[in-house]
Amino acid sequence: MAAAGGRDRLTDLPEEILLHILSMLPNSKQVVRTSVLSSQWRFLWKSVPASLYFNSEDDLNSDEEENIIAYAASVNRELHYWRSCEKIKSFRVFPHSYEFIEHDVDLWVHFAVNIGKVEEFTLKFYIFESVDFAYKFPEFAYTNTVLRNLVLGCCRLRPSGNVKWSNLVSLSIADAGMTEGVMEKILSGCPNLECLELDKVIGIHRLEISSVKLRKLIVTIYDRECGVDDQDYCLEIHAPHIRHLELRGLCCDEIHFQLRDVASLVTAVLSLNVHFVDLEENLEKECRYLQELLHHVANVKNLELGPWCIECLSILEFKGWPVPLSSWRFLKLNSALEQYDYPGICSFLSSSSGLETLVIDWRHPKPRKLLSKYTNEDERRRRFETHSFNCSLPHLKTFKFINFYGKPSENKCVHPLIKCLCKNATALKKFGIACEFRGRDVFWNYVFRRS
Amino acid sequence: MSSSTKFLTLKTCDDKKFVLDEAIAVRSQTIKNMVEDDCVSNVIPLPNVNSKTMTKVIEYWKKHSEEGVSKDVLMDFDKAFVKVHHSILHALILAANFLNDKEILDMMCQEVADRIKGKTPEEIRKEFDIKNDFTPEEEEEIRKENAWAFE
Repeated sequence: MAAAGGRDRLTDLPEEILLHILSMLPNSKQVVRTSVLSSQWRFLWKSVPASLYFNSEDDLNSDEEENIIAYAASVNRELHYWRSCEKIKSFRVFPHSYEFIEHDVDLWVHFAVNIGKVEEFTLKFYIFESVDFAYKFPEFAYTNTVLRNLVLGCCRLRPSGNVKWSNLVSLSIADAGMTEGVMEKILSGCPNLECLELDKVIGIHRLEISSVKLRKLIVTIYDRECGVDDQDYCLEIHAPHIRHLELRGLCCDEIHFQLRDVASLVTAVLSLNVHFVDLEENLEKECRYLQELLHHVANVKNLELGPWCIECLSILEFKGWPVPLSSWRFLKLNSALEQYDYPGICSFLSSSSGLETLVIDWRHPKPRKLLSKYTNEDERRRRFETHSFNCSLPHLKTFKFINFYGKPSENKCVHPLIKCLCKNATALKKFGIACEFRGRDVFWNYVFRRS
Repeated sequence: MSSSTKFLTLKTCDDKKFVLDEAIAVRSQTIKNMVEDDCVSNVIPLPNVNSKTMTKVIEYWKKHSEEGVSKDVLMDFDKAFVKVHHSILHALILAANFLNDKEILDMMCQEVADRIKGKTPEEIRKEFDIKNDFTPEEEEEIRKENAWAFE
């Protein structure tokens, strides 16, 4: 089967295609092993953008000194071989902690920012040291012009000079403590940043994003139950140009988000959980907080709500408190709905007259303790049975359940909701209602049609 | 078919002609550029593609241009499409490269990568008829040089 010139067909492909094929191999060692195939393959691997991944979590005893050192040695050895590679696509390293191996970690950072021409670098420690004892990200690493994506977990970021990550597009920082001015310094050093993710980063009171390029912000609030110190703060977000915002984590009285300027938002994901307990549980305060958040995202096109929001909607409805009128076209509700969620959702839909797509994802069950504390069972049932809802949804075309368990016709929220939608969503007629639902391990597709 | 449908004639290297709806043929970026630059008079020559390969490419284009085909059907089609002898894979990769159809090119390259994945060098040589032009001593030398990758 040899082609002209005595070479086989595969080897005969243009080099850029062979490199493309080799870059699709998941295991970088396998790429190197192609060096013995034939003389044409001998040095090809050196031009393949490699993906290096070093995980230490598999080992049960990975916190023992000898294992930590052995892990570092294996990383060092492999990096030694890859340093002759022209380009490293990604280098991801997950050490248990930096104890015993601080200099090795410095070396890895040096490889990532100075030697390897690495595009994506991840350094995440498994052990969350207290903020002051976390691995100190070395000063030399604050200047780099190649990195596009950077992920740092459990690192101490204290740049003394300027930060210059001129090519960075996406930055993710997890489990870190910031001091005054550090976040500003980092942001001003990343002129091309498009996506910023902050996962349980403490010490930021005011997050001000002025870059027009930075479009996506994902913030998981620091959960006080994690321990460390309990300084109180609210995270104010000023981001007039941001298009996509996700808020996650558990908020409490002392630590919660305060949206200030998010006027350009197109997509908002409110997956946060809120627990206000100053002196006693304060449901009204939680509901007011949801109203305030919804007010800030009233102009977005796409909205996603988590279980806490959905639970609060019922209480808002019960109290007769208004939900701000909105312009969302896509709405996703992440909650396994229950019977008494129905009035809250319907009243919410009645303020969303521009809605085109509604998706309900069943994957997020949450016990409904709020509503049951607020009203008694009889009251809820009466309310559920006597209320009739008129929400006009002239543009609703698609309605989907995903990850649903059980039979839709037997669910006490689904059935009335479908009835309500069939009555009020006139455009839905053409599309029907597609409902994917999971019974054991089988996926079925259900299509409801108006008769 | 509506009267506004335009047809293109493609001529492969073995002088076979294929008449094809322009809307389908422009899945090839190369053909699209020619159409846009208005340098298509009557017949488009494809000097690097033979008729057997072109038949396969057109089969793919037509399936992926059909209306109302579900994702599952297309996935099954693609799965069957790549299950061919490596000589056809090779011809399709070169054709997709010449026609500049990234979708077919990536799918074929992924198939080659999947056939390399998890195999020993001997198995890869066998799969693709690669002739080992190293002496045993040379091969041993390279294995030693990159020993860390052969563990």
